[in-house]
Amino acid sequence: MLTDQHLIDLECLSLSKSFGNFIAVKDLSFKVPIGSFFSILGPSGCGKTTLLRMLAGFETPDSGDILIKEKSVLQVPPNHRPVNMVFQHLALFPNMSVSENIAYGLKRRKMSPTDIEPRVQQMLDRIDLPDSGNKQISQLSGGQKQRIAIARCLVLEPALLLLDEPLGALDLKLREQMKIELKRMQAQFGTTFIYITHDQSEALVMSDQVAVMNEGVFEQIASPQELYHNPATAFVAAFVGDSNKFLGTICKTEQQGCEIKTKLGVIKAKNNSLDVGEPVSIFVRPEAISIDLSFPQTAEHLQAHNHTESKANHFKAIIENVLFDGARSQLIAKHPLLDTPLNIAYPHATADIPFSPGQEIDISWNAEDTLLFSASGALNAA
Amino acid sequence: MKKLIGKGLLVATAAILLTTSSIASAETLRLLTWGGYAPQGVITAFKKETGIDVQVTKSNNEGMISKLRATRGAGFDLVQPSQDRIASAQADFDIYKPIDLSKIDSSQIIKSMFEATKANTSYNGHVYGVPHVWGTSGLVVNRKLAPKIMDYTDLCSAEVAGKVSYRLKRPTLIGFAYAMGEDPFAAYNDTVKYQAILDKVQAKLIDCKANVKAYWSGGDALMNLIRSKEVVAAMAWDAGGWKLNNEDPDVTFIAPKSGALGWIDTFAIPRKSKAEDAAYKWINFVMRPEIAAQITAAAGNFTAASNGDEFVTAKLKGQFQESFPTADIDNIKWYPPVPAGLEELEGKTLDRIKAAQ
Amino acid sequence: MQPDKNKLALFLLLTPLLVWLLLLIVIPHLDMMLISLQERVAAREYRTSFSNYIEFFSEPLYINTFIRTAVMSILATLLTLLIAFPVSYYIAKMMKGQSKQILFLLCLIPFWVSELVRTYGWMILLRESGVISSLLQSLSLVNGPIEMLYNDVAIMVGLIYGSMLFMIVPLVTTLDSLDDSLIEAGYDLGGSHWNVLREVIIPHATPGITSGCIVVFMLSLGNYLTPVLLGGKDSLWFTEQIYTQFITRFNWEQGAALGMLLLLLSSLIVWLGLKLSGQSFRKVMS
Repeated sequence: MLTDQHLIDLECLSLSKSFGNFIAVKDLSFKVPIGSFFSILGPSGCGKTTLLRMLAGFETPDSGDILIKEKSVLQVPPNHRPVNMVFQHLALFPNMSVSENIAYGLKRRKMSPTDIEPRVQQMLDRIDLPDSGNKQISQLSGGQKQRIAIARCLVLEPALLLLDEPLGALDLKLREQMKIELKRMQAQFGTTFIYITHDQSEALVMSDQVAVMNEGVFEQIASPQELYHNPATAFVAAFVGDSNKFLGTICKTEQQGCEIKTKLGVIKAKNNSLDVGEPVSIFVRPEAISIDLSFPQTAEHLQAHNHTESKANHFKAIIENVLFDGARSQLIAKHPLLDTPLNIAYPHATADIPFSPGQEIDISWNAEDTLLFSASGALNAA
Repeated sequence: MKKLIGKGLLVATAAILLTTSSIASAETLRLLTWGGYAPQGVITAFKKETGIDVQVTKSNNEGMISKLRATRGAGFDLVQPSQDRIASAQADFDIYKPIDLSKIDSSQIIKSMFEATKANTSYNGHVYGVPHVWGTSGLVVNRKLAPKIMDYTDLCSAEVAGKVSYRLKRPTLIGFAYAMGEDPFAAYNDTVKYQAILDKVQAKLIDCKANVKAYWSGGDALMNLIRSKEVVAAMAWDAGGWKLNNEDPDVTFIAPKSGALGWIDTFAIPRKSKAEDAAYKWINFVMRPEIAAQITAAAGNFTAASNGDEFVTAKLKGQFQESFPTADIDNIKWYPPVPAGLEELEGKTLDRIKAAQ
Repeated sequence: MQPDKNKLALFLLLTPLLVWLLLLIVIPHLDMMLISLQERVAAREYRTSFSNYIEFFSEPLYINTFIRTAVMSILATLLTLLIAFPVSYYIAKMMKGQSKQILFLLCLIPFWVSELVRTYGWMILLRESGVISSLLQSLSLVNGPIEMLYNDVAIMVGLIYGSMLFMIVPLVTTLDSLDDSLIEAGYDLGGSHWNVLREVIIPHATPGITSGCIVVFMLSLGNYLTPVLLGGKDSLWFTEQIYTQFITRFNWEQGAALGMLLLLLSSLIVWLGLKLSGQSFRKVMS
């Protein structure tokens, strides 16, 4: 048990914070293991920034405790916490050169200039900007600024590095690159990262653990895979990843699962913890839906797709639009009984078959791909 | 410096505005004078009789000369500098026009004063001034709080330390010189001798500086200081002393032992006067005994009008007699005309006194 | 055709400004300079010479007065900065929304009355029979009236009070533009209050500090009423010398020379100040 405890870098105990009547963080408790990339994912206004600012020391919790390396830091001012922060707009000091920015924290520790210089250079080498020391901040590109902002913190070897949506200001392409780079830096330095974002892709790509936050509480803390495939709540299911949502009522339960009555018809699910008559929300991932083409098919095609016959849920739909986006291409299909169109992952395996709007298709998915949540604890999802 | 330029421009603009307005209504007399010399009652009576409006601008000797210098003698139709300051200003800046003595009703003016002023304000054979109001400067003393003050130099005595005030201007230099036994007016044309007197006075005034509460610059400020008893003895004009005496019998004007300094304010006509006739009309009007008495009542000083004091209140006459027993009247030192260049020497002396710590 | 038209339009637009500059700034200064180069030989007789300038450098009174004025102005500038900085920081960074505007407005209110009235206000407070003296007496803190007027401290108080706004406005503007996260980053990386002030806030506020200091210095140096009224017998202010030369001595030549010297020497001091603090005028104005 002792060794287990030692592996925790950050622990929050019943942390709460309100601003007037607005409760930003509500009785929150969690642990972050050492050396992990921990993301807090949530929409704006969910309290994630307040949580981060409490960790950094810029806000004081109303109640609860924050332990870093098993020591309460509530009485420690921001400039003495073993925690550093990468700000949303990076907050690099514009009046200092790159080296001076990195050396700022070391100087505050009263290190001699002869000790500071090699450490700054070493840090610049590690972030692949060995010759940028004398540059002014305004001479750097967005990605380089990002790296300097992180280096400025990591040179202090903090217990925790807090990142406040630092990729928000970057353009898409750079953001994709930086996701990978951040992940790499975290692995390289081994520092615990606490990363807050409203962008699920950032959280899923980089994190070891993701906490989905909504209205001041964590809905679920899990690995990205777990979060995606086994969302604990309707909010998580809706917020993480794309999905098709239906509303319905349980009409039949049995050993293997249940049946739900929806506008679309009866949908089968594996879940059997709910009672008949209970209103539910159903989520189906676009890639869980497979397509069975409705025009005359060759024998090979039939053979390739015959497994669709075994799927539990089976409907017809009409293609409304084809959104070609390489690996992330989608089909938008309509069902006459549904108000909103369905998102279906483009079946790349059948890339030789052309899809076009107006075409009728058969769609199907397995009962275990039907994600089912009681609607009574209604968390409305997008 | 910006401020000074601003002032110069203001003066210039004001002059332009005034010039243009005088074209619009020719019958306006622009009078540059001292406070109290043109009371509203007199202006109204003058307007009633002649139809001429009088626009009054209040100033002092230096202000009058500066304004006229800035405009080379334009902007005003009639000014009232002291008689001793006219000839030198005319010599240096050519800002006045000779007085046409035929237009002055000399029968209304005390003859001796008229003759003395004519002599003192002459330049190149022309007369530039007609006497109007005269008075003296001496000491205004709170007799209860400072009973021992008899002469200018007494202002430097320890018992009134921190409670005296005087101006840092030429009358102070001259007053102190007389009190120290010198005769500065006699040395007016002997620069070396005059400088020696100034040096002596300078030393005295620097010594005396610690005694001074403030060098006053405006009559109202001084009267406030005396009313609040922050100042118990000051060098000032007789009229101010009498005015304060009306409010507080302890305070009054006294003629210093070494003699009060007598001044005469005159009428002079600026070189570019646009209402010369109106100016002469005004001079003759205010010299009438009953009008002169009104001015005496307002200014607190007597005028050069013959029989003017017949109409003056008994109280003012009493105050005058109390301040000036006959011997003191004979002891009044009348300012002779200031030779050109003398004021520069005095200015430096004053600067040094001001700068001394 | 078109470029010509544009040129004409530009010319027409600039004309009032140019006329204004020429009439109110260039011509009076040139006139002043010409007057300053005149020397009175005899009545109505002048010749061109540098005697008025030589007079400044040979008469210790003028130089001492100028040095005193400059030193007091610099001191007033520094004290104003010292007082205005926390006030501005409070307005710009601690206050939000409406309370910020109200505080800002409060700083402005004293400037709705003229300088003369404000100075008289101080005289009423500080004089021997004034408010503060009476208050201290009635509280039995002192026996007998005390005089707080007519000394250098009174001049300093008046100058600082009179120029406070001109320091606060540029400071609030620059501090307002400082991103809060830069301050937080300064603390987050281990900086103390002093570190953050020195390394983050002051470097950012430098343009505001410099422009505020230049304005306050020039205002103090060129002030006339405050030193004369509050300083009394020992005021000894350089503008007072100029005023005296012009108005009571009729010595325009000397006054103009002193005026030109004030312009030159004060520009020199500002230039030196910029050099010493590593600023350039262009940086401050941008």
